[in-house]
Amino acid sequence: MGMRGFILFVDAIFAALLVLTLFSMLLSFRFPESPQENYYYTALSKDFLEILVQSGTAEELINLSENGMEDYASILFKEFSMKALLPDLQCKLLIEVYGWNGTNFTLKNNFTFYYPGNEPASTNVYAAKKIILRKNSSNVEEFVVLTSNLWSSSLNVTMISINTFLDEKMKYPSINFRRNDTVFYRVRAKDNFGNPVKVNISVVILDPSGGDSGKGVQNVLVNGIYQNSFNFEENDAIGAWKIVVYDLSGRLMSVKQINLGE
Amino acid sequence: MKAQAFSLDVIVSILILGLLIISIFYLTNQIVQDSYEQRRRENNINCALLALRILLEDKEIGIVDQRNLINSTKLQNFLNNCNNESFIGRFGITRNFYFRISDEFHSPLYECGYSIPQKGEGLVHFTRIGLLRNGSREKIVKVSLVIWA
Repeated sequence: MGMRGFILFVDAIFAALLVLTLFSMLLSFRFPESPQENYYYTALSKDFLEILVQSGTAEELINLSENGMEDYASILFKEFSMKALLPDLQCKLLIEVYGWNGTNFTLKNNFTFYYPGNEPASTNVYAAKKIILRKNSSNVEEFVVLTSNLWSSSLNVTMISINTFLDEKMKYPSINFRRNDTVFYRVRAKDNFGNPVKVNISVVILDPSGGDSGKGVQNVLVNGIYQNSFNFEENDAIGAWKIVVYDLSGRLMSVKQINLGE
Repeated sequence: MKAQAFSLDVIVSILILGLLIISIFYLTNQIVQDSYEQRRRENNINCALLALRILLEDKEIGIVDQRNLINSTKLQNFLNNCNNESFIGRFGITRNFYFRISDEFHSPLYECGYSIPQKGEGLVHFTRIGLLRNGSREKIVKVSLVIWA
């Protein structure tokens, strides 16, 4: 084997190494650790049940449902969920009321509520349970099993952040602006684990009275990041303005407050 | 003629060899960096999840009277000592952080920590929910923690 053969042999070794390296790179690509994800969403599911009970909303839901006002109970549950849940989360709540019939505890009633109103489409459903004691309208003790199922609705987008800047190159962050200034803003969409995700959003710019100023944009794709700008006019109202991001179903994803001064 | 062909072969072989070495060096470097970034992010995730757990579930050290029920006095104490490293260390926070409590419309009510950099290394963000008790009034709030290296 001459010089040429030796070099070709070394080439072949390195080519094999390159292929191995490429394979190992592909194999080293890992998704977020599932124990952390499981822990986080299950903790959120428990949080949801805790504040449902502590705020008295669980008791109200049971009372309304037992008195034939399930429609009101459903509205109450949706209002509560809208305030409590993170924007990308959906929830199913099952309430089971058990009463003592003289010999054992039996299921008296069960009620199911959904927010925003669908069965889970996701396979990743995070469940939590809580048992509480209560007295019914006849002052008889019952126990109630609450089960919440949480699932993510929008491709795991859990963090939409908005940053505002004074300059086009977005080097100087600021939340304070003056009339005739241009506000440069950047929207980032990430999952909880910091990975960028794709999502369609609408950006609405609210004036201090809460009205839509018409300076926003409708239905744009955020591929991890989206940048745009708008101008403050000479006659725009002084005060706290808000940049609000909604997803395509109209659900609030994020809000950034900025100030327009003299 | 034979000597010419041989030297051309050698030159081509050496060129290929050089390209392969550069490619392997680049890819190896990339893998090491990715793996380092992934480890750092995982550490930050653990740090954020642990801190939120202590804050919202531990009645002794955290800011709650019972799980998820935030006591405004304990919260104020946390905010006042936010820049004290040994105090913050009780919550397992050993990295750069930003803490915020916002209302149901995501408007900030309380915040402390450092301002979030544009390119925070291994930056992670987690939010949990709680009830903020202030006197006899209770309000649903979102407790967020951002951690980066």
